[in-house]
Amino acid sequence: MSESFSVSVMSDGFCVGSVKTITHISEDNLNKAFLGIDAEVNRLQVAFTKLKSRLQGLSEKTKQEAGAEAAEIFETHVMICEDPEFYDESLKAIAEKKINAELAVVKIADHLIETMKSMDNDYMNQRANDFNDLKKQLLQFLTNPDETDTKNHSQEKFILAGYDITPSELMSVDKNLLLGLISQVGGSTSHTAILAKNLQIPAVFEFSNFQALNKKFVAIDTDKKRILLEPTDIEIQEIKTKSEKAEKENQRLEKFLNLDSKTLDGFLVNLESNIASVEDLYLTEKFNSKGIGLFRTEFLYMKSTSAPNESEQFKNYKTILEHQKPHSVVIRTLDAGGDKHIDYLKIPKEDNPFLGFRAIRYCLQNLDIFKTQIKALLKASAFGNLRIMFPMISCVEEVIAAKKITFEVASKLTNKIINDDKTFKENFSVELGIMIETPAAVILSSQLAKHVDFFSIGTNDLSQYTCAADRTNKSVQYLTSVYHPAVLNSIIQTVENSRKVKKDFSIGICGNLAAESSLTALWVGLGINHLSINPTAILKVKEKLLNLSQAKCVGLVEQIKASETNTDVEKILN
Amino acid sequence: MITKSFVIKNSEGLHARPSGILVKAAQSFKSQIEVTTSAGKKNAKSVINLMSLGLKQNETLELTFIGDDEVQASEKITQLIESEFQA
Repeated sequence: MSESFSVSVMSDGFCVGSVKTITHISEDNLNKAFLGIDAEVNRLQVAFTKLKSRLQGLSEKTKQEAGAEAAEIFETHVMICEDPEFYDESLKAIAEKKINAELAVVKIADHLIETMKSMDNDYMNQRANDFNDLKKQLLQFLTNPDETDTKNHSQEKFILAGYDITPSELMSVDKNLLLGLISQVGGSTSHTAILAKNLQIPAVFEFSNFQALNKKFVAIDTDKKRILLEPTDIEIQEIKTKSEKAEKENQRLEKFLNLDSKTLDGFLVNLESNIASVEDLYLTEKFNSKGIGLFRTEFLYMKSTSAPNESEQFKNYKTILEHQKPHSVVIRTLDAGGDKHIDYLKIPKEDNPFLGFRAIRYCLQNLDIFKTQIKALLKASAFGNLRIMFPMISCVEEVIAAKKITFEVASKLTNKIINDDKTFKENFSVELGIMIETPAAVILSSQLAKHVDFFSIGTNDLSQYTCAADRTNKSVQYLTSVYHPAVLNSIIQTVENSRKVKKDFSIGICGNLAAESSLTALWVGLGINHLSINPTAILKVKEKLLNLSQAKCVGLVEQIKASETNTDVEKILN
Repeated sequence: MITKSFVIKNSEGLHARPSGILVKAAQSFKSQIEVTTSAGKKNAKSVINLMSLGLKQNETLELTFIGDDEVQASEKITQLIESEFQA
């Protein structure tokens, strides 16, 4: 019998294999011998030199395998290794206290860790992790000067497990041998999580005791958010089949990488990426997506302890816009609330957070936060092709209010009178759009279209609100089918209504339905211009698109309108 | 010896990126450059020292320059801080 443990996910995937745990040098029994000041200073200098060259190597490797943005962490580490407060002070400690190199490193690093932790600044608190990571690596070089990396002599693939797997520990492993990653503690927005996602390796955390896994056979299944200890043959086969299938599929789809996303008769659908951070840009390159259909800005807010200031936001937006130029980037303004809780925003606890004070509703009453974001966006707009999108719109008044604030911020920035679409467009080449994700927005779609440049239909919330069914509640799963005619008809209505008002109105779809390749034909039939998808799922949709002809898909719309059940829809589309 | 006070103008304060830029500039001069902190004077050629001051916008940074190229060093660093670290 296998044992199953539930875990949290850092990066999706499946794997089975034996586990190698990372063992750290215990600080309790460090070598106590003191070889004299000169010898110890020399040992430490050698260790620092080796560490720096290792970090530079990791930085290069990370640039290749996970992107330049993800590699920045190692460049910061090199800078810390060269810092007099760390390097000079450690060497000085040897001479002053007559202690060996190990003790000197521990003393100085621990002092810096305490300093960082005591500061009233989240960024600096995080730097404590950096010193911990560097301390561990220096101790390894000192104790075992020739054998430092997590070497795997057998060339056998394995799952890496550790207490808190650091970026350097992850990147030191040959990625061709790495099946997956289990960290006892961690976080879904940590550097390690970002690296695992970009390397496309399954990674989980919040497992009670990583030591118990050493040399055991383990399966990771992030679909079910669990790991299996000593899985049965049937379970192993099941997971192996899943992971092999996924791998084969990826190889098969590679041939579509450089093809334009057009139908046989030349209808272009922009296949764009959903991203949550600048580090995600790496995957957009890897899967050759053109443009960003949804940048979820809430992660910028979630990873800190206070709202990110204007220049911090500006930097992120500018990087993304420059990276994607000339393709467009849809940046969604803060969508907090619902299931995305951010402490410092102080959104009161509600009985129905999904029906409560969230997204644009919150922003319109917290103008400082909203205006800071709009200002950063407008400033960054000079560096690329920006489309600003307001989430959770449920009435025309919200759009008017959000635009009014945007115009106010624009006026202040330019010292010109900007109070309508015309004056705004004269000064900024920025499109303003909204998410269609409530039934109210669907019903008002012709009115709403008059006020904005584009719609993006957010199908996750739209299906949840249309069917009044929580997508995470197993008992009501039958209402969350991707073929539910009510949801598909809402989308059809939105497209038809808005294009009666504006003939070539730009409409996109984001959320799960955009990535569902059995629906691509319907989107083509409807004349949807943009699909925003997780980069890893883009090629599958592209393959489908390349084999469709728009002329033939148009007829699907009337057929779907006439459908009564999920099964009817499924039959038409498959 | 030149002692100069600077007001931090950029909205993010003396965060990692500006500290890094400032330290790289400081390291390019031979002069000893020190930052005055609540705990006395410390080496300003250290990112750790600058960042751990946690200086926010409109707060003051006091630097001392001692050495042959102290004039050039103070000019360069003045220009960096005034341009809000657009190195």
